[in-house]
Amino acid sequence: MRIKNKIRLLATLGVAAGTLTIGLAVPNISGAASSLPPSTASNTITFAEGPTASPNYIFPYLSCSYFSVDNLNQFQELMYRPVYWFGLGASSAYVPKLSTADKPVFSNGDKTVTVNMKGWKFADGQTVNAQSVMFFLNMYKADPTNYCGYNKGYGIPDQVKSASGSGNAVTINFTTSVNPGWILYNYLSELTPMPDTWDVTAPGKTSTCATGKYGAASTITACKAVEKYLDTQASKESTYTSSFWTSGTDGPWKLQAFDNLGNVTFVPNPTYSGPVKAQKGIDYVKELAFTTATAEENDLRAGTLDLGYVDPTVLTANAPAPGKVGPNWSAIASNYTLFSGSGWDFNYAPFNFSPKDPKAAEVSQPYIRQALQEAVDQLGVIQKVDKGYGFPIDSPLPPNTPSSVSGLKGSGVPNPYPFNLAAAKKLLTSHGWKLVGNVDECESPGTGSSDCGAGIAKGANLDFAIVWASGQASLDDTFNTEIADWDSIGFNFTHSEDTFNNVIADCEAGTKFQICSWGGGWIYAPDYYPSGETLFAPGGGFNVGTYSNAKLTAAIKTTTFGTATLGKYATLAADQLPVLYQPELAAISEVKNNLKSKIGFVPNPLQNFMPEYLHF
Amino acid sequence: MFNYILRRLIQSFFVLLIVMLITFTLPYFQPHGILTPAYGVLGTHANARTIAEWGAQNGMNHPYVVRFWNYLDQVFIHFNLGHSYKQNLSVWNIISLYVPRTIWLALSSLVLTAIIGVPLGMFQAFRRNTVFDYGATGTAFVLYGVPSFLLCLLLLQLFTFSLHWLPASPPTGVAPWAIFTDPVGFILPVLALTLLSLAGLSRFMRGTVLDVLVQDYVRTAKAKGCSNVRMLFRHTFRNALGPIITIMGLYIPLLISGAVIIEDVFNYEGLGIQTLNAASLGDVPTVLGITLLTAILTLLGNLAADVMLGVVNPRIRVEGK
Amino acid sequence: MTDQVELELLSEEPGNRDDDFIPMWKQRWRIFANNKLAVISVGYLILLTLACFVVPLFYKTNQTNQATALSAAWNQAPTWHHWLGTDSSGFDELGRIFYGGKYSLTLGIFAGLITIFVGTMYGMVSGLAGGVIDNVMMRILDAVLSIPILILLITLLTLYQRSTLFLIIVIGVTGWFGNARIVRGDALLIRKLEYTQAAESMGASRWHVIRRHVFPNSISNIVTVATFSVADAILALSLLGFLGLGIQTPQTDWGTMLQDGASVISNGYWWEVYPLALIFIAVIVAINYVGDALRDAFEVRLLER
Repeated sequence: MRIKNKIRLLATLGVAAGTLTIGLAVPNISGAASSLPPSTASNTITFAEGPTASPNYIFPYLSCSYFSVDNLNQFQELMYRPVYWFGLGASSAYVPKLSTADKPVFSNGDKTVTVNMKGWKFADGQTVNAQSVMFFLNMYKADPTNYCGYNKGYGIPDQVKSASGSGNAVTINFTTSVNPGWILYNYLSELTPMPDTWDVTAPGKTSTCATGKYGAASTITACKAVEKYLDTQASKESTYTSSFWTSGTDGPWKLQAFDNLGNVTFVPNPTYSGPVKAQKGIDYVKELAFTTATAEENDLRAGTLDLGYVDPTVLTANAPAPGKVGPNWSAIASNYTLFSGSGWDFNYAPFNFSPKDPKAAEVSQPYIRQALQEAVDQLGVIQKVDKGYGFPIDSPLPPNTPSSVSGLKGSGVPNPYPFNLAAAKKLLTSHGWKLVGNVDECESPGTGSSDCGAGIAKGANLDFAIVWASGQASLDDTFNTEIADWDSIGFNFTHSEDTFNNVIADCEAGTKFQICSWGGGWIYAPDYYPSGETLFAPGGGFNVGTYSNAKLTAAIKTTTFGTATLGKYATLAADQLPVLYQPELAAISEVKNNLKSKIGFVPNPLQNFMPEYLHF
Repeated sequence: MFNYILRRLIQSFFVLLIVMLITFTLPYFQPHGILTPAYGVLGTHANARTIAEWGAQNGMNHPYVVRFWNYLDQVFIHFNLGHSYKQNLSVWNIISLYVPRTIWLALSSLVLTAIIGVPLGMFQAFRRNTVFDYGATGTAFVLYGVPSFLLCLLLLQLFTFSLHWLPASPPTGVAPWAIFTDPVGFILPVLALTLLSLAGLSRFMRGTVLDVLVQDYVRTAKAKGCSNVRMLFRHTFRNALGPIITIMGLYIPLLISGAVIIEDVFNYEGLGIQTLNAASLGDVPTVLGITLLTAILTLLGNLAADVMLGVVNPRIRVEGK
Repeated sequence: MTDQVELELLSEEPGNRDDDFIPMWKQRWRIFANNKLAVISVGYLILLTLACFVVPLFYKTNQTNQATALSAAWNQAPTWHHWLGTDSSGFDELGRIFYGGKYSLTLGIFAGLITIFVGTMYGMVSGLAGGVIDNVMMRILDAVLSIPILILLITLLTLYQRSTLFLIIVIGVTGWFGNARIVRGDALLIRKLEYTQAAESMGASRWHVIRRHVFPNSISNIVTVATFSVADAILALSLLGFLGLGIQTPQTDWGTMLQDGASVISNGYWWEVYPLALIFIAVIVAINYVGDALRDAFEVRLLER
């Protein structure tokens, strides 16, 4: 009878496993069982989300944990339009016609700005007016640290003396005069009008965050409660398609389906008041989640995506020049066209100036940083490692910065330190360094023009350490190239590859490494203005190398509180090398051949996804 | 038997505590402590202020013992596994979302593996040192020797890109049981997972049956003139079942680890890929939750295996006395 | 044949040993040597290991200098200059195979040894001690076994700076759990078997029981497990390579190379995957054949069939 027992046990186990599975499966039914059209339907545009970069937060007042391209530019902004819109087609500039307000009017010696709303409509019929903007401003004032754009001591809300709204006009008074460009790009661009239906602390329980006086204690209390409620709602992804969230839609697209995996479906918003509505014949926009780039490439080869991307490493032929495209990947060339463009960012690796670091004296010497920079073969790396899909970076301005922002004519900031190994080597030997074994040692300490410099003792050597984020072959090749060149001019680099978390933490900790790189540089978003107060000013939010230079700090000040354009500051930053400039990868997109666009397919520098311009 | 199971359950609870202690404590040894994940979550928005705020929001300010106690309290009293650091989902949400997907994938391939692997291994043992045995062993070794990601890519290359027979990945955003309603996309992942586990099982089966074949009672049975088929089932199979059951009990955490590569290459949103991401991003609550779940399943699997072992081979029921 | 078996069976009986017989290891060697596949496998493994360490001394190509590699042709098909072409970082593929093999094999063997040693010790101690010690040791083992191995591997790897030694240790300490269980199961089963009990009741010392009965009986299992352990360690390293957690660049290991090659295989760069894949799979297969043959050599009673 043992066999019978065995069968009984097996059966029991089977039932248990089955029950467990079904039990676990039940919560998922609602999210998964939507009857949506197949990806290849002719009324549907299918867009590939980045690998493991899927939208997961719907509330526009978001903290840094959720502050990402996939949550903002590819999700929220399709539904919830900010007061000022930036980026269209290949441009990153301000787009007045897509903004929910008219151009800001500065007065009172740039101490006051007036924002006139255009009077668009939310999906529930409410007008997008001054009160909708005050809702956001009041919340910002009440709990600034929970919004990722917050920059302590700068702009909104820390430099705002008072703010008020009436009808369609919002008036903001600053404590000091501000650079209009800086305020528009960095702060006004972040404001998102919110509907009255969100001004609640529980279902049906209205609050006074939108209507209260700016800065009043009662408003602050009300706003904190409202924010908490909205954040709680936003943490339940099952609520995203409810009328609560869709009532605030003032953009061209309305959320139709959202699952926890990050797959999103939009339908056109019939009440959108803006100039460009969804094109005829497009009934759905689907955003698909991917776990890896390879998986996404598989779907491209299967032809199930309309808009996707490839890693340049799969391309068999190089781009003829930076900013141009070469032949497409042969596996998909018959169905897709390749486009490439630059991002609104610049790539760099911070130097470690922290006095805690034993090599701080060496790093502080401009000629040593110059030697390192001159040994970076940016063009060679771009040509080989990035297959030509990259841009050399030699200042903190993004590639293709418009001259209206930089104030520079022609090709932008001139590169003071082009690749030159002989010059780099000579720079070291002329400052009293001599090769001993495989590394330079300081032979003539002192502060003279042919000495090593302040704080460098005799016999000190150039044993440097670098850490970068693991897992990206192109980053490995880039830094291995640089290390080989650095070692050839007298440095001796040891390197380690670590997780992204650890690298960011290493950069911040300021010990053990002279150079670090998380592989991404700096993206100018949501602070679109490419100024340097966060990166290079003492106490700046992400001045990880703790760089400090009075001249550069003064130049930064003129771009935030003065009226200077960015050219002078950027030229100085290129010359002073507060960070090591690194070649930057181009943005690459693959577009199905039957898809058409009214604004072209060159990747948007801000990575905006604007399907209202697309049609078949 | 009842007492035995009860005692084992109590033991299992203590094992669970050890698991929780290990996984809860390991993150403290990260080079930058338990706040390390904050740097990853915040990326270039990380600075002293945002890190401290993040720590406070996630209850990092308490000492180790208090945090561990809070975690136990949260799990055992409130049945709450916490909220993911990285995704805007509760850990229970993540588990209930992805576990069924992986279980169906893994069960399908497990069944296939058993159906093919067990008879194959037995047959090999009986036909030991024949061309068939060498061929099967060679094939098993080759399958065992192929790195899993390479096998997946080769299958993709062959069936999807060269022959155009099968899709590159299962449909996205579908119900967990889509494997039964829309099986075409699942053929490749299930095939890959089966091939990968087949080698181990058939080889183990062969070894075990060989072990049994040399036992005295089988030799006696053969000497007495037992027919091959009768011997196969009456003696060999039953005695070889024990080790196989033990192996199956060990299979559960392997399922979750083993499915990672498959899910990765075939873009299947399952628990494996979640585990991988959570571990490499330092999403500690998710790692803890997944580990806890795997531990519970494994312990139950072990218990079931031991109980069945006792049923199958009474000589081993020593602990139960 | 029959004679040999008789000899073996006799020699296994305690107290019946006769010094005139051929020593046991010699007979085992004969059985092993009879297995042609195993001998070929051993030859292959030795040759390959030698090649990985010796060939780079003569076959001088650029294997690690990425700056020099910038001026080479990348993903170049085999030529007279590069017998197996160049890889996706511009290095000579053949040179890299030997160079990476050095790391993969060394790491695999040392990590494998750790798993065998720790696992066998743990399992033996636990199984033979019995009682409370066994119980506690097994509960701890249960605990670590029920944590998904990838979680352990990845978590441990993020704790310290990655180096070859650290990789060996991490793969070693996460690989022995299964071994311990199998060995312990053996020890337990043998301990319970009638003849051991008989020996004990006849007054044989505990150590004698271990040496004469437990160890020889579980040696076949340990050997099988050992071969698999080395193969497993090499595979584990290749998996880490796939996940981008292998040896640090510009050094390389086979897993990393296979992953790099596999990511461009769709472009028809066959030389970056297939030659190495063949070598790699052959290594695993060879190790397993050797293990099989060793197992047979110990399992002498099988000879009769």
